[in-house]
Amino acid sequence: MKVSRRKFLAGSVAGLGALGAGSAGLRFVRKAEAQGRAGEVKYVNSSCAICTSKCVFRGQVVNGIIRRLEPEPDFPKSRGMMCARGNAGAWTPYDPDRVKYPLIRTGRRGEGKWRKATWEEAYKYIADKTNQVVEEEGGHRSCIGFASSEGTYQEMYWHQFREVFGSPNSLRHPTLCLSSVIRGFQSVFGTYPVTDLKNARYVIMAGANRAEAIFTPDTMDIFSRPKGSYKLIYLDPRFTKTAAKADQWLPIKPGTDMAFALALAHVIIAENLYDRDFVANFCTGFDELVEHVKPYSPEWAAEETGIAAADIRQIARELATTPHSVFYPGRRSSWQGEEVQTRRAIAIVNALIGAFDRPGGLLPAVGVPMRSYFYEPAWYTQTRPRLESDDVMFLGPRDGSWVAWRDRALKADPYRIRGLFIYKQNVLEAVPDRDKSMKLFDQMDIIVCIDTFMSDTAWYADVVLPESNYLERLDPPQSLGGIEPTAVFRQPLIDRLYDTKPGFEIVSELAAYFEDEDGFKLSEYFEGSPEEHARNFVADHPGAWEQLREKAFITVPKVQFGAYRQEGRRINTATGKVELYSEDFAGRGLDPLPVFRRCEEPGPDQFRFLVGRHAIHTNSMTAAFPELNWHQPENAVWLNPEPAARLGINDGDLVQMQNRSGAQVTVKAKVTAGIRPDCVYYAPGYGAISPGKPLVYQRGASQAAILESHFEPISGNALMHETIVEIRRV
Amino acid sequence: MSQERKKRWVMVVDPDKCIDCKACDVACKRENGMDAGTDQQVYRNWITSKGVEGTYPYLKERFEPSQCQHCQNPPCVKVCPTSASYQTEDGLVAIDYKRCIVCASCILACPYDARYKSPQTKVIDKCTFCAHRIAEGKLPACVDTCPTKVRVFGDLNDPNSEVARLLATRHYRVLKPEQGTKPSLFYLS
Repeated sequence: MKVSRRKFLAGSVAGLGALGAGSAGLRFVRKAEAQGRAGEVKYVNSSCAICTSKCVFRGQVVNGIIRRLEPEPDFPKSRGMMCARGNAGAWTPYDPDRVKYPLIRTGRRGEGKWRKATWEEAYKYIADKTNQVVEEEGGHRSCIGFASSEGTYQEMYWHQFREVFGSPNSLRHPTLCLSSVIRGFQSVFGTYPVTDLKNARYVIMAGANRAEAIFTPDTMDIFSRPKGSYKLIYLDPRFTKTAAKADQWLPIKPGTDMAFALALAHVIIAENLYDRDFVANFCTGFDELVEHVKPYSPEWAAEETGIAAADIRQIARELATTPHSVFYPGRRSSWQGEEVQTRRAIAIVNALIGAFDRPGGLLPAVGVPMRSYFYEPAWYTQTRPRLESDDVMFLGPRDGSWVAWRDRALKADPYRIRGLFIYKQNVLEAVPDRDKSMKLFDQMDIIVCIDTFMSDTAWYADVVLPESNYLERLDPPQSLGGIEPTAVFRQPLIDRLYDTKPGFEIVSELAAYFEDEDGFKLSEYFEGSPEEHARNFVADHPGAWEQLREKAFITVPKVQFGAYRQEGRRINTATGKVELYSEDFAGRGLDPLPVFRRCEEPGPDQFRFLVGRHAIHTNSMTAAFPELNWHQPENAVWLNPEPAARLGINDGDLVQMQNRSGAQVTVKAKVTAGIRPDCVYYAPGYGAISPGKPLVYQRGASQAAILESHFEPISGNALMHETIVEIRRV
Repeated sequence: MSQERKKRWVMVVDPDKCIDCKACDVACKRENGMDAGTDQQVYRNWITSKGVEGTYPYLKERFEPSQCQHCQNPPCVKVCPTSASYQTEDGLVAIDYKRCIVCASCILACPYDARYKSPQTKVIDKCTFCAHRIAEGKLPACVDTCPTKVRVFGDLNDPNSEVARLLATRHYRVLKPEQGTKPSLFYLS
């Protein structure tokens, strides 16, 4: 919707915001402008860091100031596109609110009183506190937890630091996102595959909101195609922009995707529509599956999912008979308790239609072969298993399980966690149940945060170490798997601003303030520089380093379909076949085939809270970018008109939401037919509790504040759709 | 030297491909050094939507990207008292900022609501089809950045151009044809 500027001139609209924050940074840009375009213009290729797609761009630098990040047309994944977030990223080095120098807290935690410190002071402060804690814990280094997130190619140095420090407690992004999808697909196909949407003719997406959760090349591959060249069936309780683009939108009841997938399998088998060759030659457990899906008829699934049996039957037939059809694996955060099994059911449907290793299907994500980062591990005599090691069946040692880990840490069970070292993760907004995260923070003797911005998490830390921005850093290449495997690289467009350092410098310098059990300084474990590591990574590819410097990416030949369908070729499962029935799961006491179990339903006048994405935002990271915030200065809770009328809530009213653990948020209502009557939703990134990001400080509501903490015990994934809320008008 | 053929820059828009991701808006602002701050009136291009239409669960939503139409018969040029608004040979509607007296006649005259007062230059501004980029042989920033390639830009006088081919083979419409402005933006339908 747009406001008429003619009306504005007539004086009927008061749209001028009083908020001046966020404008100061553009002064840099204007300074470059003032010096004229005739000034020195250079282009530097590098890769984006605003989401996980890592698109390559050509950075236009005028008189030493970044003016624009233009898309790189030759990069095979983004092929000359740059989304709103990537474009807005050009702003980030000049943001007046970035962390400019090391900070040590002087007031109470969260009070916002800091003193500017030198790096040496900050390192010493961290080391003194941490070493004291370790000593009090009898030398056990597991008492320090380490958190980090994706997007930075320097995260490996953080893991090196944690490992040489001697803590097993590492927590990353995947269990807040896609670890359940990975586990589910791996158990069937031995890989978390990529999808060839470019050649797909019939696509089912369940929750994978690819028009808003932009992911290159998938978003481009499907939506840039002419209408009529494919059919898209989209399942989501919310009418997203993907729904607007789909041929059919089905507002499925949350938590019932597995019922839908099982019913598809039922029809495909009952009507003999499955790919006989593929099932006979490449799958195992088909007979068990045939028996298993017998009760899961479309009529049964209609009751569970709210999708008409006739629709389910028709979709099953179309999916099985349209060449190059695929059920997109998706990546949405978990729906409910049977999350891994739901993903298994979706993978099984793909196996039945032979949508593996063929155009328009799924393909193992092949990367660019590179040398790995090698370092000497440290050795400690006193070690303990990670905190939540008994809670999750397939626990990734680096990924951890955030929610399960935090529950253990809060109870000091089986041991105490007394410090948190956090690298580029906004724990207070990323992890569900902010109240619990705050309680955990309260228990800490030391919280260290490395970030470029003053997130809520940084605001509640004791020491904040400023990392150089992604446009000021050289990061070693990182391989991106896919049909067109690439490795992308980051190099500085401009010199570092302020007193900031790249991740490698920070951790290797901090390491000098710690010793291992034999009295060696931990810095002795760190060698070289990111540039030396980068050169070494690609040393096996002649000319690769030069191409990285020029183009910021390298490619290897495209993956050819059919390699896995050749005689004698095994896939990466125990049986070497696509496992419809999982002996591995059976052996662990898990259902070998997906069994549908109903999740808890919201009562009358209760709603299931949904999470979701917006094309202008990456989780909580971008809501305060001025050019993005301009499009959506605050979020609002989506509510269907039917319950809204019942509750007396009008569009724009302020409402209060409360979840089952008593947490409350206040947020504006957006009454819209675009959501199921039993669900509510608002966008992530808003409702910050600290003024570190002024544009979203106390504006809108935070998702982490309302999400209850639940996790899925097979993969450890946080269950983002197990939150039930009540709403009332304020 | 042969006489150079006159160009006619046009844009062909396929609204079916638009996912309303706002990449065009942000790329435009950055390319043209626009700092909107929190001022909701400052933008050169936009994506309109009537919102979600229909009754649950039978819903639809359409997105329509738009901007200055670079009309062949531009009302803004006619009303401009100082000739600050003018037409170039290539069919672009441009503004000579030095001549602009900010009388806002053009804002009122434009049926597409394409003009705004720039907080930076304090004069009236609008989409230029990224004339500075065209001069370098590049595409306008919004065209270049679009993830789904909604917009196709080119010279309609070149029969081999993508825009000429699209307009020759596809159905299309223009916005507000009743205004007689003869826009250079064509919407595939």
